Amino acid sequence: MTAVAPSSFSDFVDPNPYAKAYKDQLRIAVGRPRKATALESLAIGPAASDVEASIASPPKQLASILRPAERDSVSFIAVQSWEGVVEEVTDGGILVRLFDKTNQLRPETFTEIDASQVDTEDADLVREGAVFYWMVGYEHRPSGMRRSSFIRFRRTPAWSARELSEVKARVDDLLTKLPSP
Amino acid sequence: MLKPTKTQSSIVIVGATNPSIFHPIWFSANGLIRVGEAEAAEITIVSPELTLFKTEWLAVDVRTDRIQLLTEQEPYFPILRDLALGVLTLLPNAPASAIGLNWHQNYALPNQSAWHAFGHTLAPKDPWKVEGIGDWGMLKVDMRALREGDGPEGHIDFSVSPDFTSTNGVRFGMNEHFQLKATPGSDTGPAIAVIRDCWEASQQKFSSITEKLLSQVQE
Repeated sequence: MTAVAPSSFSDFVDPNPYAKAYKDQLRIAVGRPRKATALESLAIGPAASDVEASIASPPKQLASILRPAERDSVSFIAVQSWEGVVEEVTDGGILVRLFDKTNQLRPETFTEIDASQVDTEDADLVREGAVFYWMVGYEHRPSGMRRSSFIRFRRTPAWSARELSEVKARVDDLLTKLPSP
Repeated sequence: MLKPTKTQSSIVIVGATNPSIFHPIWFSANGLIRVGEAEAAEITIVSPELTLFKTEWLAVDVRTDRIQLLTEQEPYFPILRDLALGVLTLLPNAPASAIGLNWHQNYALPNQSAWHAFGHTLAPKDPWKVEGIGDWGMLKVDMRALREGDGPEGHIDFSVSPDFTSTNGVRFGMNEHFQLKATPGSDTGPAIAVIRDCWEASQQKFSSITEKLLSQVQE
């Protein structure tokens, strides 16, 4: 198996693919068992052997705290997908240009999307030139299957002022190296 | 035409990193995922040795020598790519020595006869027949090809195996490995270029190989 494959191909079918990872971390977290000291041997209370046993066998509650909560498995099979670009944002809608990713031989199309179809968390991303993904298909949940669609805008990290000035400095440098016309 | 019953895509970035950075809030604070997703994330652990968390569509697994981003929902495949690009852009001084683009799909073949015949096509049994040994069955076929065309050197590993969790199930998996030349002082530019320029072609390769193999399924 190459170094950059997923941790294990068997992770794909293991219902709890992180079981090994969090068990490894549990071993790191609880430390290694140690022998009871002479003082503990003389202490009134649990016998030294009991103390040793409890150190060697950490309480199982710790494992359950670290175990990830089971989440309903949801899968989405796309029937149709587009990549879109915002052409213009108007009062009621968003004019977009769509590229059919399911059939790339189809020409691009123009349409208008109602702003209400965009998730509120993506509202700030809606601007001219913004890229988004539009998928239509079937959502498979344990409770059953249903037709579904979603629109999601591309997210790129916010550029810091330092990064912008670095880019500007590089551009300025390149411009000075260009031959004058 | 058969449709997949399960899909998965993951991007693995190999390089030294600090897993404790990769808290869900770090992702949302940098605009990489939605704030609501970060707040609802199921965090297994965030530590200097290991970070594991999941959102509705994303599974993040970060160790000291690699970052793995994974999704099992096809609509989020390009979003996963954008996320990987975003992470690399935010960590310019953490050069990657390799990139892995990984794809998986499960299919249910029409019937048991087709399932057995498919396994027999990929792994013929006659060369294996030895007296006294019972019938052989295919557990997994692994193939490797060197990368061709644009981009860094590397290889493509493709595997086919029965999926015993479903009836007449078959699982296809591909890892496209890109070897980068990480040197002291280099940045994440080459890694960004691989994901930006080669991701879509990698997905196409996986589709083409899977289609070619499935075309040999007898219905």
